[in-house]
Amino acid sequence: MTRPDNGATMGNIRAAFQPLITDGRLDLNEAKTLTTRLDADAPADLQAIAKHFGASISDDAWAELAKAAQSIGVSLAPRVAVSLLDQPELSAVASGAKSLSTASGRKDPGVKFVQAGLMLLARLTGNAALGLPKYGADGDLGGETTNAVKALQKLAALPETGAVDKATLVAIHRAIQDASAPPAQLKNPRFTDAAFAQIASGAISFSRGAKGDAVKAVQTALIDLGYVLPKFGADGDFGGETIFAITQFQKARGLTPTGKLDQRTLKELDAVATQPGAKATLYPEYDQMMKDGVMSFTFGIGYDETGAHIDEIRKAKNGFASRGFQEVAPGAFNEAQWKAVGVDSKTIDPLGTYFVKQFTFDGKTQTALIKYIDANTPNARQRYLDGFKQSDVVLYGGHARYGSGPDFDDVNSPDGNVVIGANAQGHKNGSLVSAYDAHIREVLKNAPNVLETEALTKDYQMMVFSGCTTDNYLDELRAVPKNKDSSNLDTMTSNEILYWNNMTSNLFITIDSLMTKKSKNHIEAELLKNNGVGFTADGFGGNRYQP
Amino acid sequence: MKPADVLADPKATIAAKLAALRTLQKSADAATTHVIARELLVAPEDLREPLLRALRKRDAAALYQRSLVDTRTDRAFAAKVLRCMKEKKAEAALAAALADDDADVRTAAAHALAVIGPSEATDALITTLADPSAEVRFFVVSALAAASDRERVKHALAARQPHETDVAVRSEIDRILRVN
Repeated sequence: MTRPDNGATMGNIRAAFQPLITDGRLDLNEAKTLTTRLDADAPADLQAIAKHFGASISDDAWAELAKAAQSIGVSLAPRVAVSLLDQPELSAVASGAKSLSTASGRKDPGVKFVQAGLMLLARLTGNAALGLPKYGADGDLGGETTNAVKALQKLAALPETGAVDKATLVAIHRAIQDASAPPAQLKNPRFTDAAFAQIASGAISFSRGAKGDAVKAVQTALIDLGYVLPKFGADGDFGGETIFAITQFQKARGLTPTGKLDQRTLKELDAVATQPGAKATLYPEYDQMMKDGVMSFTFGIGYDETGAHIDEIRKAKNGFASRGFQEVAPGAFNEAQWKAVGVDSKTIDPLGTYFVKQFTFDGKTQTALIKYIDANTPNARQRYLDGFKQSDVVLYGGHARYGSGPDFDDVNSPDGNVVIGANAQGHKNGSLVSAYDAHIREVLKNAPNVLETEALTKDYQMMVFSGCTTDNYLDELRAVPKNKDSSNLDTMTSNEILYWNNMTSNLFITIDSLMTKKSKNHIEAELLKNNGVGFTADGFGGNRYQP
Repeated sequence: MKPADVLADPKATIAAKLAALRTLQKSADAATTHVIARELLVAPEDLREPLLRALRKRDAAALYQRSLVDTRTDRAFAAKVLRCMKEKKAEAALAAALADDDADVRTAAAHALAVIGPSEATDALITTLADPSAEVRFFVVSALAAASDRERVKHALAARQPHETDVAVRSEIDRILRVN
């Protein structure tokens, strides 16, 4: 039997008090009952209770125990002082000898401790997804616990198996340690306004309607971290854009997405914000992009009524050749030839045109695979759409069609349009902004919104739309696909006048940058240099990849 | 800022450019026509129709067809404007421009024919398949892809294919032969 530091025998404490705590939680009445039963061993017992049941003690029950402890001169240890990794019931999991899941070890004695840890974490972080509101710490690793474990695994960037293995246990332990740390002094000079001290103490929070310099400081910090306030910027007004950016930040940092700047969110923002005036260097999620050894691109050049696209096609083909890409015409490669360049032929459209190149990435030979589509491509819309759904990187250069989406044929025909910015449910109920030209809306009136009819991969994607009003695609890309958010979709769009003679070079800037693992900041700077105007980068703020 | 400068300013808004265009339309001189035509070559889609309407009102197609055969003028520019105006009546002048000494003029003429869609210019285009400039050949191939006499085009491209050295031109020839 392992004895805790204070000398009380864990088994005795459990035998004495656990029957009281039938639901796995210690409420106020139970705490009161417990304090009446304390005797000469009270100091040790109270410490043991605090440590052993810490995770499942409610706030008022904890206060009751603390009061009892104080009356006998005992200072209770922090709520979860006993590391999950040191719990004897979890020693086999901690050593990697076993894992707990619904299929194996569902009612293992260690389950209750894991549940208690998750509940504590939910309370400390405010992340409801980690909580067990229905069954609590009941010792049964059922659906509720599995979901909470998966939520934790997602936050920790672990495989979302729902099983408690060594890595998951360590992640819970670390998260509790992080969340239990006493509130630190705000250290970033951005947050010197008196209002921040109040937020840090938990006395107030910023929400819709808050105004002033402190709000402006928060907005600037978010912008410098890569979050976007496209219309209003840092205007000192805590409105919809700021709420959205805060929500994105909270999601990226594993906090409950409330849209408010509360104590926990400020603490996190203070920890990660750049120094005043400095922008964070952010990266596309290269690890995710390259997990199969192939950086896959869909490369689309749209149609122009005055034939500007023809010159861009020429530049594209020359550009691929000068970069050492090999053109693979439809059906030109068999399975073995694809395999020889590192590509699974099952992922290939047999009637598509590709450009392929092997290159060194992180010291390994990897493959850049470019699915190429232009207005001359048979079934260009469908081919682009297929790539749009799957590719690591989706590129488009051409007319934005007044914010309606890429287009591979004449403006008056709906056949080549990949409709993003019209005809979704949100356009009908007014929550999304439709393409801003009445004529294009008429042309597309019977064309479905592809974000509603097609499922995008849940894997990470980066999309770059080089066209004048492609910013208009953004609200749909954020709102419509259920399995996409800023954690698995980064975008670059524009709300400036872009010229056709820069379309292909914009796409090559992106390709060259990605193949050499450049930052999002680098891509932005290169695009700005090429066009004289900037692109809007969205979603990069929460990315985890760092070189 | 003068209206001509606003129209040419890449950072001006669409609304500002439209206002500048309205002012410019009050003047009928050739210099103003050039200002409007220059913007048409790079205009975003929001501006295309207003610019085209303004140029049609000024009978710019006739002006640029005359320019195309006048060695004192910017003939490549004229061909580009005719392309953007999709001026079918300019086909013969554009076909003749395929034999111009200046490769930029030949490029612009072939590009225009690719957009307009050649009918009478097919012979001139086939002849220009052997042009020394790869850029010219690319647009010639693109123009031939839009020609109506498919069998003849296919035959000419198949004959050119083994001699073609430029990667982009070869790729386009291969594509057209595949489709046909």
